[in-house]
Amino acid sequence: MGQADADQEYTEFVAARLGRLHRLAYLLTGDPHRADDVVAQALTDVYLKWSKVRASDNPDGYVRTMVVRAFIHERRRAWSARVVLTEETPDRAVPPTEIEDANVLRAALNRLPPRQRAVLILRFIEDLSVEEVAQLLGCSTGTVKSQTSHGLATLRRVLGDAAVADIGPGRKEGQRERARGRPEAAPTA
Amino acid sequence: MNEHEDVRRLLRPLDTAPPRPSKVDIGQVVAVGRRLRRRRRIAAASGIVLSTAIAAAAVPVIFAATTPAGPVTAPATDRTLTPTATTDGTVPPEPPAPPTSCVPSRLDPPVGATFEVHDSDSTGRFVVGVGLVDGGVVPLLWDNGQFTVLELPVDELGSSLVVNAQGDVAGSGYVQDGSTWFPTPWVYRDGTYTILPQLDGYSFQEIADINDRGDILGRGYQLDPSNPNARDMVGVVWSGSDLTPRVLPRPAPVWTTVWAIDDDGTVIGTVGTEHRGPADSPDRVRAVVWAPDGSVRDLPAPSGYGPSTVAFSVRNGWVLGGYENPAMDWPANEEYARWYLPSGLVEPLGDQWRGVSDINRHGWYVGQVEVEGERRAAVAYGGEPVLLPPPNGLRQGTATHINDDGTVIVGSLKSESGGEQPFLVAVRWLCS
Repeated sequence: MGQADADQEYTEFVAARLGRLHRLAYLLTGDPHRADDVVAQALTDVYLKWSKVRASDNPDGYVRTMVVRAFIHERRRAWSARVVLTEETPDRAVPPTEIEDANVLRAALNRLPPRQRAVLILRFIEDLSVEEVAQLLGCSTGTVKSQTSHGLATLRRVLGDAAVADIGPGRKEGQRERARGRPEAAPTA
Repeated sequence: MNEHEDVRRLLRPLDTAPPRPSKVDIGQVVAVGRRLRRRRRIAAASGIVLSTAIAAAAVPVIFAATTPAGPVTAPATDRTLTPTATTDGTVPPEPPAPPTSCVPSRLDPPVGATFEVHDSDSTGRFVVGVGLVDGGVVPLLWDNGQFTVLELPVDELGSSLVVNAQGDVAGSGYVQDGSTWFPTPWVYRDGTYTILPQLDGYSFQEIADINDRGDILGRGYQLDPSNPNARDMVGVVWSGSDLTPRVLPRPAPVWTTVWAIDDDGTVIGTVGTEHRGPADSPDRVRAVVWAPDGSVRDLPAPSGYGPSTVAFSVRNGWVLGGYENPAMDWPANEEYARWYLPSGLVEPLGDQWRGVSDINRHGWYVGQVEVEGERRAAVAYGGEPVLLPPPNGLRQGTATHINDDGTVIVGSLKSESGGEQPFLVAVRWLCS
């Protein structure tokens, strides 16, 4: 296959999946702009490994893996150089029935290290098995389980026991965390 | 209901489509991929792993020549302010004549597509950031044209890197122990990495700045032993001499975010988080100055403005920040300004600024302005903003750092679609 043909094949393949890949990246980042950056990085990696991707048993899975890994390795951009480690976080614990605001959940998830965040999203929103997540992240199933446990424990601390009651192992942490958001006057693009 | 279903139910609100479709241009991805492939082949053939490489798209441009036909500045408004009177007759020193032209060049790492600038020092010699190589993040120190890969003492890089005029680099990260990740601030100086000490009752997490005498400014949580879940953010300074941590006193028991430290130890930051609500609420965000003598005071807005104020950068007594215009609704009510601490002077920067990032010892500052619908990198020498000429193939972006004499400016520009470009390009302007 010549380079022009390979490029055409690649273009058609990723163009057909761009929407789904962007959705996955948006799930992981919570931000459409960052999602674009993650997808662009992943698709660049896919381009460079296209011969391997097209020869693999599961090109779709391969490409999704690249998106997740691009997210895990993503670092904040110069555009957001003034963003603090804790962005908008809930200032009170809320029971599960009141958690309708995705922003509250997003803020809680944003406090997790990237791998833990990816594990929770892949397992509980993308509905992948422990084995599939382990394969995707290149780690053991034991690591996936422990990161799931730790991620849920952190969510419990941030959201409060009422919101995350009865899920996962972990200690009852007592009262809610009082956390507040960052000033929004940061100069960003 | 089992655990899996419970968590699914909890996280369900996140399972929504993005608010807009992807803007990724696949043709551009292919173009970038081709360029990277060529570069790797060249590197492989020559045995080069990392070496100096600044893709010079250097085209000398006189500032005036870059000014579009229309006015650069926004239309005049009736919101002009008179700077507050100085209380002691102190006036800022007269700055030298500013540069009149700047030459842009790209800061491309020799391997990989992107170099994300995090910080540059007061001389302009050093730049730190991360490169994206083979899908992985590589922390990089750029020293006068030479890239060095930093081998960090952490398992995963955390927040931004910072650098001072001595080439000391500080940052944070995570050290993994089993399934637990421990926030771990560190500093690299004199060829050695040192994990910054923690204090009982606190968890220091992130680095904000480092000054030229080596004092390191960080952020962390104050923990409440009676309530493991109660924590408030505080500022901390590790002494440049012995790295002893000192927690900054808070003027009120509210969330505190430190931003920058001057060479004399002055720290600026914000306390509170709310931009709306009662003006006298302790949660109203306001800029605060921690003086070297230990005193803490507010950075006041001009009469008729406020009460919310913010501060981002400090250098030689100059502070870059902004204040609230109560006649506007949040978030459009933010107006950028600079203060001169020795005199109390405060000056509005003008409506055209869309972001400001850094101020130097003469009070010159850089950021982003809006001109004819475009967001452009710009510098100001105390007056109107001046557009910085982009390298070929780039256009919009922001300037993020300016050195002390104004001869070096660093920023990030977004590539236009269709070109053989990474998506975000680090740019360095040499000005004279």
